[in-house]
Amino acid sequence: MTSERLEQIYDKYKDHVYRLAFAYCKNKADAEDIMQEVFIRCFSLDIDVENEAMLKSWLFKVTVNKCRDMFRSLRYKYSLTAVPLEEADITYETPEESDVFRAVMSLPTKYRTVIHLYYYEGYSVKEAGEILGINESAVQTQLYRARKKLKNILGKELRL
Amino acid sequence: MNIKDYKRVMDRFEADEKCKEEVFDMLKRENKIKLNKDYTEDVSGVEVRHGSNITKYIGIAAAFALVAGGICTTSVLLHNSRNGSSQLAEVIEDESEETTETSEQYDYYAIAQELTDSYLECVNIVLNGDISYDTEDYISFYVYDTFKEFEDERRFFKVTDKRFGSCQDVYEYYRGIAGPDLPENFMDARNVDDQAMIKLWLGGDVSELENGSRVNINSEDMSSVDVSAQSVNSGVYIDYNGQLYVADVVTHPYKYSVLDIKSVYTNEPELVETGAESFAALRTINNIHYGDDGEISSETNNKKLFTFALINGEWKIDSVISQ
Repeated sequence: MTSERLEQIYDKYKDHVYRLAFAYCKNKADAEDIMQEVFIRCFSLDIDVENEAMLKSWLFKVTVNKCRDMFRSLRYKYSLTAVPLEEADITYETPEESDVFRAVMSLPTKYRTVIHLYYYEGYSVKEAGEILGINESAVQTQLYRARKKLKNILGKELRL
Repeated sequence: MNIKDYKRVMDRFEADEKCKEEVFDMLKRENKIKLNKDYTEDVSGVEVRHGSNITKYIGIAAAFALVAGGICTTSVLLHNSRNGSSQLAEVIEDESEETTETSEQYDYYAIAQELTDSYLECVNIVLNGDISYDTEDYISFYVYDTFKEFEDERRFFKVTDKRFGSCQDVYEYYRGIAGPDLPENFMDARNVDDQAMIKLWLGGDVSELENGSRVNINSEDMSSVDVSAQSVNSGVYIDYNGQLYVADVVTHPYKYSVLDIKSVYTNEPELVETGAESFAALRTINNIHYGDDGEISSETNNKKLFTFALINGEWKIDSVISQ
């Protein structure tokens, strides 16, 4: 790949990868580290496909795997029982934004990730399952349980 | 309240520009040539120096002396020692070994083939129960589901493969090939976020259940179902009274008898990238079901990207990513 192509890929997907990593890690520093690792891996393996959707989902797969690796590391396993949301860089414009975002971030990791892929990135159940390496019924179950938990946290049904 | 509130907040997250610089700086440092195939190293500012004629003649004389010395040493070696020829051979052998070590030439294709073959064998043993067992020596449990109103036999055969005496042995074999970063104990690994499948493969010790007993697996409230019941319902391997058993049928994720499935490669390794300390290769896996009607290929064609890393001088699988 040429330098121009690498930059093109980076500029197009950096925020998507960063946001997915943030949804998983809940803090900016780790999300940035993961984003950098994802692109270095992509570029060093010379991964490039003509189908942009395939490239994006490949980047997401690597992102999820990198996040999982990080959470498996000693730091997360033994130092932190629950990862807090780093609020410093988050801007809320309305109280509803704050309530909903915090509610999603308070969900267990697997529910946050599936909510992000399905509702934010607009992936289908099948596509989200492929990215996460789980089957469709598991995605549907996780989405159902995530919505149920959100309803409990917010005290009312979240409009989708 | 609306999920759009989440989207609006998320939309404001943007990666810091310094990240881009760091990524590209790192790539440039590590792999200048790959970044730009037309890269050529221009050398400028080189000062060309000409030695004087006297220096030139001294140099020629010194070179001649060295060559002559070398010839003499070789002659002495051949003449003085009873095993002169073997000593010379040792000297030459040592030199060739040193040359090989420094050149770092790896047969990536052969390494990829060997390691990916080991991985597939591991998949067949751990996931598909492809292992030797005694058909005459088995235990059974009758699982029933009060919610779905069904009852079915779960039969487990005693494993006769000497390598595996317990679920922990199976796990250590799997860990050695595909998951070196996993915890040492398989019960701990079952709780690792993305390793939930280990729960399905390795049921653990179910000795508390009586052979031939009925086991409730009420699917309405999975949280109340005990671990042993889940294990006999879905485990490929279980421990029972100090022996390892393998299931003949599992309910999930396959509908087929677990002992009748075999994963195979449909292509040879395709090298994607090679480097001094890592490389990557692609292979495609297909599942073959051996049913009453013969062999049925599932045509899943699951393409896997294997990455390999050189760890302490030994090539190992670093990651396996489904494409």
